[in-house]
Amino acid sequence: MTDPPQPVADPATDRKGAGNAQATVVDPTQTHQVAAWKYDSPLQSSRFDPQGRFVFAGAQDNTVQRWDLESGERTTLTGHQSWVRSIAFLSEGATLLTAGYDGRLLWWPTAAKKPEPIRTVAAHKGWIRALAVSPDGRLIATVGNDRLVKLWNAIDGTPVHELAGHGSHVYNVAFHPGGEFLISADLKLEVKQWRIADGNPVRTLDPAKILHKYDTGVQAHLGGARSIAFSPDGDDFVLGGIVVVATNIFDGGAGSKPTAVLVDWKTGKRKLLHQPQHPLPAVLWGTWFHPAGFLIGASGGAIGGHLFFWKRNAAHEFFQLKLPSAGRDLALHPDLTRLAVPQHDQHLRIYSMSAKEPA
Amino acid sequence: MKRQHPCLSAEHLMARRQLLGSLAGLGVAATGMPSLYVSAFGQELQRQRKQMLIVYLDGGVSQLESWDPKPGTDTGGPFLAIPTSLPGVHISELLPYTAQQMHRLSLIRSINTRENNHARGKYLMTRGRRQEQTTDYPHLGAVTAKMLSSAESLPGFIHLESGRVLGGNPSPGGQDAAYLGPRYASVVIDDGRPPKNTRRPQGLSAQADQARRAFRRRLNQRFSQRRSAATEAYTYSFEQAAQLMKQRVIFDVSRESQQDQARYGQQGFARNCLLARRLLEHGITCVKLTHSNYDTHNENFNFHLEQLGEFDRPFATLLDDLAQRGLLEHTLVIVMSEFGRTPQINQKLGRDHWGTAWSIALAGCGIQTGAVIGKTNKNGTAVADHEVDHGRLFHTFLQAVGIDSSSHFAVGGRPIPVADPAASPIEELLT
Amino acid sequence: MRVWAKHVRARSLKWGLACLPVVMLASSALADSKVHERIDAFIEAKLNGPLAPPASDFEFLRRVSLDLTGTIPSSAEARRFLDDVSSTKREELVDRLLRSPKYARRMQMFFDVMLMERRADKHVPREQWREYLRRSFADNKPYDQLVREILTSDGTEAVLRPAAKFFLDRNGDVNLLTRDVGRIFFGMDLQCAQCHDHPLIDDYTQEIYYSLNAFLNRSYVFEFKEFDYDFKSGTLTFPPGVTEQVILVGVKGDKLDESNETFHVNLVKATNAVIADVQGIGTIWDDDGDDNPRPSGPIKDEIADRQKAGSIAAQQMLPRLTINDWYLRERDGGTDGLPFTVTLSPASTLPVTVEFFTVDGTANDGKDKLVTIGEKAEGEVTFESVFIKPSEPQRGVPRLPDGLATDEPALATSRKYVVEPGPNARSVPKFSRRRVLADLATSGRSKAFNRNIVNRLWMMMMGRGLVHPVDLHHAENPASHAVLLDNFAEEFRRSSFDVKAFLRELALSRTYQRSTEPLKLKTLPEPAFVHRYAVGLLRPLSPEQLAWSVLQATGATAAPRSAAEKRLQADPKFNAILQADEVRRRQHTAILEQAVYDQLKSQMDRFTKEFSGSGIQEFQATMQQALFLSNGDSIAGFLKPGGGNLIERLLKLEHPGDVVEELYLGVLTRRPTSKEVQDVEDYLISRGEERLLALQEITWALLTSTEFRFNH
Repeated sequence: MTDPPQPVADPATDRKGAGNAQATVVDPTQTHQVAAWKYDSPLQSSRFDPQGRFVFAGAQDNTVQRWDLESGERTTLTGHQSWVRSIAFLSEGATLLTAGYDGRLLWWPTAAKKPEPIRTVAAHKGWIRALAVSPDGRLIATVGNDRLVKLWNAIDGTPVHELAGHGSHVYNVAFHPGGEFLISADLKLEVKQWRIADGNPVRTLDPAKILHKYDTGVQAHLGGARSIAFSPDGDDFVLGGIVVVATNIFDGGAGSKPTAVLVDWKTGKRKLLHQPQHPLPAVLWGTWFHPAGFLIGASGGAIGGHLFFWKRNAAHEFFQLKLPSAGRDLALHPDLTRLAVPQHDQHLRIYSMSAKEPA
Repeated sequence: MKRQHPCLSAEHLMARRQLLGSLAGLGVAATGMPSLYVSAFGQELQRQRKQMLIVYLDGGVSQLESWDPKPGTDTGGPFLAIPTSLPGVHISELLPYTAQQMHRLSLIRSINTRENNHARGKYLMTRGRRQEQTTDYPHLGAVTAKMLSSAESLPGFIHLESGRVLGGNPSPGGQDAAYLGPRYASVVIDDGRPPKNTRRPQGLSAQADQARRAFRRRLNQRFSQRRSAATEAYTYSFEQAAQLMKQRVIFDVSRESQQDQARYGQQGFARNCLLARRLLEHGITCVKLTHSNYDTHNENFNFHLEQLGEFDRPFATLLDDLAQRGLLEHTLVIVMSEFGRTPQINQKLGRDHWGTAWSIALAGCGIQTGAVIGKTNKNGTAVADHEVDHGRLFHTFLQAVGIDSSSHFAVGGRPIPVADPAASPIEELLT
Repeated sequence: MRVWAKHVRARSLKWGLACLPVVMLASSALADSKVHERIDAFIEAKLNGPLAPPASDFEFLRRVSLDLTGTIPSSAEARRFLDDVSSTKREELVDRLLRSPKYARRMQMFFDVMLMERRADKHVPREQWREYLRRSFADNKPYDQLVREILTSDGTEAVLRPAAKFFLDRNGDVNLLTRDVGRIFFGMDLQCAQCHDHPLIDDYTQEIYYSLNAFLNRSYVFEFKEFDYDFKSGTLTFPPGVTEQVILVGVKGDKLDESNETFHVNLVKATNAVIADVQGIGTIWDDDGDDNPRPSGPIKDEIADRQKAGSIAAQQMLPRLTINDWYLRERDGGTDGLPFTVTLSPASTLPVTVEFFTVDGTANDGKDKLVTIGEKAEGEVTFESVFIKPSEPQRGVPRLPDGLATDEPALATSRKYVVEPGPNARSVPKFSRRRVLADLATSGRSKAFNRNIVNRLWMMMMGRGLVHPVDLHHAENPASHAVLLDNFAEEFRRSSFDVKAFLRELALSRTYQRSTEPLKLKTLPEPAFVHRYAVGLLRPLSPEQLAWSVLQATGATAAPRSAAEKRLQADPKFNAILQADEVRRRQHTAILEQAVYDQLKSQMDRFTKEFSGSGIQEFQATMQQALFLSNGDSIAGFLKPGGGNLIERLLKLEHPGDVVEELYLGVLTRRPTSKEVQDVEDYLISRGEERLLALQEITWALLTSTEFRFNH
């Protein structure tokens, strides 16, 4: 006999259970929108804070927006000079971290009435594409267009390691739940594993080349590791992006599919492709493992946005939800029942993975 | 009762009947006289050989990610603007090396061609007029080759591309001279390979080649009572071929110094920049250099990062080299596309076609340095000052290299203006 | 005749209105030899000056060989014709050429380019398509039948499948097809009219575009998928108290080495129960080559388990349905089926139903795809101009560009299909708009259709369409000889669209046989001069004609021909060919022709690659082509002596006079002038020992001369 699903700590972002005792049954097939907050600019990133009070979203006007989940009140965080694509938290959520295309890494007080940056570090030359916090909360990893992976002391922002070796823009980074390693993945889907303690490279993997393509017609590289997540037990990880089929990239490629490649951590080999059953030209911008045993993805592209839900061993989704606009990221609330998707039509939308309350 | 459409041009009101039914200039006709007699009035030009370099960013480069950035606006996108060697002028952070050459360049930021279609946009920017059903107009390169080439030696108009053969999409070439005839049409060089078959086959000595060609010429002379534009073109193609064989070494970019090859880089466009310098030095009248592809409906920012990343340094190196070697003063350099890109960012993080408010850059012969003509409004959604179109640009290009843009070609006994008579050069840009 | 025709010449035709041919056509069919005289009458009626004389024998021989068989004649054929003194030799030549298997080959090549415009292959290999065309013309299939086959073939039936290439290899792109059908079958390039009325051509309206589009938009490219499991759908019923039901999904085992495949059994729409687990996953494990395979069986399904255990929202009162996953070793396939157990928990007192269907995960290997054409029974086109806004969208009513239409039957929804659409089903409607398009176009009542083919055949022979360009027919681009065109469009129809007969008449006309030598006249208004056929038109060889003429001239055809000849001699069926068995002789010739074609068609492809232009404007004389001819290895290869080719034959000839004659007859299809004889002899002497090289150089000069390159 098994117990009801318990909220589980997600090592990838070091959040604890929300302590929210409402025993909502998670039933992804009932996913529905519960809030839609409009801003003045398209939104491209979002995260819930570990204590589940707020949702943060990066906007195309270079600000970060914070909404109070209870009241819906919105606060503007100004400090970046370009788009913020990466959001994370320290100290059980007391401190907010943002990293932007201006190459800067900023620390903020998460819950202040009008947060101002506590610290600014000029972390990379060019875009910072992704940000991650180590399971023990002591290190921050940033990656970007300068092809570097950089580790920072989370408390004082001093540089710890600079990891070179990627041959193209580094798109994503994640810490292994075990706390010993981290992985980074780039535009050409070269995946590098690094030992945190000494910054040394451990492996270079190649399990998800399918998410990259050099298009000879357009003479450009398509794809990249747009999303990344470790399974809670660290046995697997997914890299998300797009599998481009046709060479016509102008609409994202007819016949293409937003795809999460499931990789076995031990062997470093591809196990499975999670894809929608029918092609749709879109990128899988966000992926999350839900402790109840399924994978969630959010996509956005030419045909708008979708949420997908896959069983762990299933190629195709058991449920999908069409969103009003292209999704650019995905966040899972610490109470494990809610999702946030920042969308191109300037809305931040919150979804609940449970049956609608009768009116 | 002609319908009034924005895409309707003034030219169709010309006497169409005479040229009706003959789409391309290569009408096949057999008469005692060649069907197209071409002469250029106004060939009393400065004898000093002027040249032209067209850098064509294929697909429509985004003006917001290059010449006319608007960071911090709702349309500006995530890239910043950087100062340049021209005080007060900023361009996109994606062009750091070019920014250091800005003192050699001028910008036109107020172009409105009212055309968002690739083929039509390409046509009007390179021919100076909108595409018509009845008359085909020659490419800027063909006009330049015709007007500025010395006595027929090498092809006057060479088009450098890279990666197109690999991508399954090589340009056909040889189609863009319209009524000027194929001798002025572009010769396409892909990936810096000299045209195929430029070496004499083994076992054929130079003398034997001469002898057989002479025999062939005699044979053709006997047949010469029957002529048409097509037979003329065919005959001439052999003359061109012979010339090219003699001078095939000019296409060999590996003959440039190792140092120069390293300075430019090994990637396709970079190597073509060095080859362009070489060809200009060897006297090729017009070199067109295409960089592909900028049609970024999807993921505009990633792709401009990549493409302009390839473009910036080699182009800046080329411009500087041309200046240092004294070529820039008699070579006009144009950097253009078929249109710009929309200020609005679409759902695919892309920008779409935008002929309404966009930019090109110019340098060299006949052009003021450091001029910025026109401007767009705060977020680039409209031209705010000094709107110009392709007609005016074409006039300007011709005047800059000393061609009287109000002159005519005589085609089939009828005068056809070299440039659109409804337009005129942008005087303030010319020296 | 001429005067008569002049008086009744119709003026300023409004395109679309029939002009009345006052010269009444006798009811005789086109085979009536007076047809070519009538052509001349129409042409000469518009000429009021001197005419060029008829082409000389050798000019005519070469010209008509190129036009009707796609290649020049051999030196032996040239000698025979030139030395023949019969007064009917030209007519006999035409008939001989039309009987030759090379006629069908030529038409194959001409129509291949006309219909497919050198597109890359997609779903129908080009060799099959070309053979289909060749066969059609060898049988002298009437043109209307050919077009019907091309427009209506759906690719499901082997014999006519190649005809579906027109549709399939344009990917079923409806707009591309509208444009190409308009251009190729009706002589109208409607492309600009897709978004708005054509800005320059009044006749090409958006309405005309979408009326044509409406015939085509219900058709689509269909890909049939071979599944490794049985597609299944249905409804499960749980009578009260029953808690388990099983869905059996059959799986085919095969020996193909594939990666592991999955398919899903989805549960949807339950009554009196709630679906707690919507998806059962079947994994087909490819264990070919796996030493330690895991046995087939159900897979632990965590979600199903959790749901079954009944953890719970208080509100849920309904029993829950779950379905397990299954894992199958492929070698266990071919069984009655995988049992997917659907469990209802707890048992219900009411009947419970749930619908299910199987859906592929990865379990279709895509190797057995057959691509065909399906068609819907519904789907309308609407259009509005991009310039006139706002506007009411209009509906495209299926109608030919010249107005022909037909009534559409009103069928009840349930009776619209012969084969209903569905997943993996190619739909076949009872009423096919595409078939109507084909029927109307080829009915004989479509003037645009009839005119178009006559115009294109005219252009093929004469070098210029009566309407020029051939796909731009409209009121302000009328035919140069409108009455002639209308007349012969009608004649062509009445002859039952007989292509061969029409070409025969063209070849016999004075107009066709006129010399291309310009007249010694000083001033003539050029365009009118050109268009009135007072002088023959000089035209470049098509890439195919050039290829085959080079192959013929250099004698590259000799070796494959004699090899095929040898094989035939060994075949008892053909031993007795010397007997006057017409059928056997024809077969013999056809087999030889096919053998030569098969052996050398890759050479032809090389030439067409180098010499074909883009789109409609085929001819361009580029420096690259000159380089190919000068330094490429193709021609150089053909000039190496061997296999009975030209150079080999020339080397064997002692007398220089014989050399020159054989050379000129074989390459230029004429005898050399005395000056030319002198020239060649001088050249050979000057090269002394290097006779082979000299011969190669001279031959090269002839092959690359303007005289060779052009049809004159």
